Parts: sequence; C-alpha cells; structure tokens
Amino acid sequence: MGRILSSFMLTLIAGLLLGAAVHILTIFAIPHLAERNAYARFGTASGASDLLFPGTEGRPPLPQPDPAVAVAACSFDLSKGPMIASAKLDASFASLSVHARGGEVLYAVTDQAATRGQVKLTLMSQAYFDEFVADSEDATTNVLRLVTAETRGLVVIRVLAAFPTEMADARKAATSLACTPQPSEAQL
Amino acid sequence: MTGAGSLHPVPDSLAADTSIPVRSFLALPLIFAIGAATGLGSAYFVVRGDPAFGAVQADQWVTWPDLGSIKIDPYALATLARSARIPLASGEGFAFTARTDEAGRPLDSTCRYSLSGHPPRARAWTLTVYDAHGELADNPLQRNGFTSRELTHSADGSISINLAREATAGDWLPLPPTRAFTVVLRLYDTALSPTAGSISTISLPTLKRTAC
Repeated sequence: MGRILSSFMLTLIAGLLLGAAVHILTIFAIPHLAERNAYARFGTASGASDLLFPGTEGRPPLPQPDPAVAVAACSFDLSKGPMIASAKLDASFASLSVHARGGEVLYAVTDQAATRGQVKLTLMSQAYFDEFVADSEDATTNVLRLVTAETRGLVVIRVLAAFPTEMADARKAATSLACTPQPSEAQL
Repeated sequence: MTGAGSLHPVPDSLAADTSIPVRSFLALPLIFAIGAATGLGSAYFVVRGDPAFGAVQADQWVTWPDLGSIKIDPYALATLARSARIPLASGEGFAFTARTDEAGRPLDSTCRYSLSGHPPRARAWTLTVYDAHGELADNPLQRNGFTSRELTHSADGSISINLAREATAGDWLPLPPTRAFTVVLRLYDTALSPTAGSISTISLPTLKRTAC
C-alpha cells in the first residue's frame, strides 16, 4: 500500500515539475503567439497611421481608451533599413511611444521634444547604427534616434483633447503620424 | 510478495524496481496529463485581468509602474498580449485604477461618490469611469470623464467631482448602468515616479462614498 502511495506521489511530483516547465514556457510564448495582441490588431501595412480611438467603425476597439485622448498607430519594420516616425504634436499634451512586437515599451517622447510642433524620430537597428552612423558626424547631431534590437513593432501617438471641442483637432494631429522608410540619401 | 520464493529475501527497495516498467507505462501519460493541465491552467489564470505582479498600491489607487518600461515582467507582458492593451510609456505618464472607495468597499454605481482633494502634479491628467466590462458606457451627456482643464477649482486649488447615476450640481460624472465600475486616473507628463518606495508621497485625490 505504501509502495503504491509513494509511486503515486512520484508521479504527481513529476507531473507538477513538468507543469512548472509548461507554465514558464507558456508565459514566455504568449507575447509571440498571441494572434490578437496590440501589434497583430493595430499594425498597419502602409506607412500611414490608423486611428485607433475615437470610434472607428468595423475595426477592433482599443481596450480601455481614455475618452479625452485620440490614439493612432503605425507599424515599423527595420529589416530593410531605418524608418522615420513623424507627426505634428500640437496640443495641450501629445506623445509618441515605440512598442516592440512582443509588447515592451522601447521609447517615448512628449511634445516637449518637438521643434515647431513637429516631431521626427528615427528608428534603426543596432547593425545599421554601427555600420553607417556610429563613426559619422551624424552620431552626435541633435536628432531623436532610437537604436533597437527589435525589428518590428508599433509607433503609437496620443493626443489629448483638453476639451471635447478639441477632439476634432486631436484626431487630425493623431493621424498626422506616419512611419516611412528613411530616404536613401540619409538626411538624419 | 515479490521476493518470497528466493533463498535470500530481496530487500524491498530492489523488489520495487521490478514493477517500475509496468507502472511507468501507466505513469507517463498521467505525468503528461498533470503537467499539461497544471502548466497551461495556471498560465491561463495568471494572465487574466490585471497583471499578477508589480502592483503598487497607494490607499485605494493601484498602478503597475513597470508596464511602461523595459523592466516589464514576463507575466505582465503576457497579460498585455492577451488583452491587446497598449500601456502608457513611463515617459508619457501613469494610470492609477480604483475599484474601492476610501473604506475599501467595492465601487457600486447605485451609490454616490465624490472625488476630492488636491489635483495630482502633472502637466495634464484625466479621470475616466469604466463599466464592469472595462468599457465606456453610453450616457445622454456623452461624458465618461474629465480632463484637468475642464474642472472648476476652489479657492485653495482643490477639486471636487460628484459621481452618481442622477445629475448633481457642480462637476458631475455619470455612473454606468452596470453596478460594478472602475475609476482610472491618468497623469500625463508627470515628474512623479510611482516606485514602491515613493508612492506614499504621491498625494492623489480621494474617492469617498457619500450616499448609498
């Protein structure tokens, strides 16, 4: 009887150990397998941005939106070279954030980093930076540059409408976001 | 019984060995079943709803300061991936959620509440009410929140917002038809850094139940 019990306990312990391994693997796999994560839902194919809030009929809704903030996003892909995310940030508060495909926040700037109401953020891979930028004069110039190991992700813009009447302008500012490949004659 | 017929009785530990091949034949599927059920089941439960770890609580407000930074933990990342939420980056601001009143009772939209105190230190902030499903409820006023600029400030700079289903005087925020609701306070471009050590120094307004 004791032997049956101890072999059952061994089976149980082995099962639970396997369960722990499955648990850890599952947690790490979810961001890459989730077909409905933010990148999969809100990514764009072209360089233009999509408005995520307010109200875009027939498109997946943005979870827990701030009703006073217009949100738009565009996808970036650095496998073919650097990309430029640009937007007009002219509002009571506006910000640009960069999110990896798996969901990590990589970078954020607010409208206080904008010059003449315009913000331009250059995204590039570490390999591109090392090869073309690190030793050039551009490395020290005053540009907003994000060097990242992530190849794909989302650039998200948030524009606050301090009053409901400002929402139309906030939407316009949000959709001014564009993710475009950097022109080959590198003007950083 | 295994060693009964031999001249030298076989110790129990060795006798047990002879039965292992037969048992493991049955045990392996059982091990896989237990492993799959507990592993997948626990992973599913831990990534539902709010992130499981990293919450920082200040009275009735709770926030997850690492959601918007590279320090985000794998559980929070999995939670975000399931819900498709796009978190505020730490550089943009922080979101604080309240599900209870000042006495720790769950928020109930059949009661009345007031949010009062000094406004949080931020360039801009917003207050939003979500229904039990985490969505913005329809109401005739088309209002689910306030921005810092919309509110009336009293002489000492403090604010006071009434939350109730029926209209009230002053700054009024309608409560949703679902009984449970949550209130989210978002601070944009704030110098505050809600790490575990400094959260108690952040003075956020208090949500009090005034009638029920």
